[in-house]
Amino acid sequence: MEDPLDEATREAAARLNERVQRLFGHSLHIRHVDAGSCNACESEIKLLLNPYYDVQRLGIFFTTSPRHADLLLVTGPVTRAMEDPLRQTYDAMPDPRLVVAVGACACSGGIFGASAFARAGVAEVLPVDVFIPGCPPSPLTLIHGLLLALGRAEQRVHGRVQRVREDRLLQMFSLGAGGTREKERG
Amino acid sequence: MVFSWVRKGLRTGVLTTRYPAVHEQMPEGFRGKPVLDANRCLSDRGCDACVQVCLPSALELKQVAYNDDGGGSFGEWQLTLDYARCIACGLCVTACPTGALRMTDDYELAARHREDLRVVNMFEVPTMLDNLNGREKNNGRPA
Repeated sequence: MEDPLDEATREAAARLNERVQRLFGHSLHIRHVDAGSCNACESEIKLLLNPYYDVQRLGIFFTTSPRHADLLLVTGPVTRAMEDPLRQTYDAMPDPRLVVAVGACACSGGIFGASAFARAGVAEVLPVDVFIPGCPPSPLTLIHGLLLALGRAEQRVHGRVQRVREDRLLQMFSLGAGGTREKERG
Repeated sequence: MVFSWVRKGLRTGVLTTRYPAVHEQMPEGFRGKPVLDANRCLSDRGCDACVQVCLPSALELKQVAYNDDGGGSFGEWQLTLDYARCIACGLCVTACPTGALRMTDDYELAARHREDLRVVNMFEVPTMLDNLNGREKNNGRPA
């Protein structure tokens, strides 16, 4: 993937990110906002607090006030009615703050999004740090996403653009014979 | 009293744990990330079975380039699998005639960028002229 940032900006962002993670340490407080979700994501988020998944063992807690929160967990495609409350919640949070989009709707708009009544995901309204896809994402996916936001887990999904015909030709023949057609095209 | 609290705290020690980096064994029938083996995909031969059944349009097939001498279905086709839209229903896997699509039990799907959730496969469909020359029959080589 082409990175739109230049070297200096990327370096500054990495430094800042490191500092943010040091500030959060191994503790994180989450404020959850339902921005038009169908409540499937909520029921999975609720499971994070049960004795089996138990995110509190990882130092992750849920708070009721955005003023106590480090991370904003957003579900739903962001409906018209919830757009302003969502912005207000984000504005009420102290810096540094993270935003995590949970579920297919929050990531891309899903089946509800991009209509007259809803936005196509949280990224249209707020700067999103981590996307957790799934409909709904399983609790383990959620834990992975939250730890990815904290820099305690590795990203496993990497989008790519691949040219299939080239691969097929390379597979069919030796490398040299497969490449000729592509070279002709420039 | 305060000292007893401190003593209790020290005796208890650290209760938080690190994230278990082992791959969790998911239950039977768990549907995680669907993956596409593009080399077995027949999108460039006119197949769009998975795109037809995909409910949230996570799979999209569109023509991005046209060959001068061909027209029609010839040119370049682009099959996009967007994990941010996918609801892991598994319908595409049952619809796929070649078994190019399969469900995995991979649940670690979170990503930092929206683009990381998009897998784009570019299929270059041979021109009509290539077909007339029998290039396809000779596995891509000119006849």
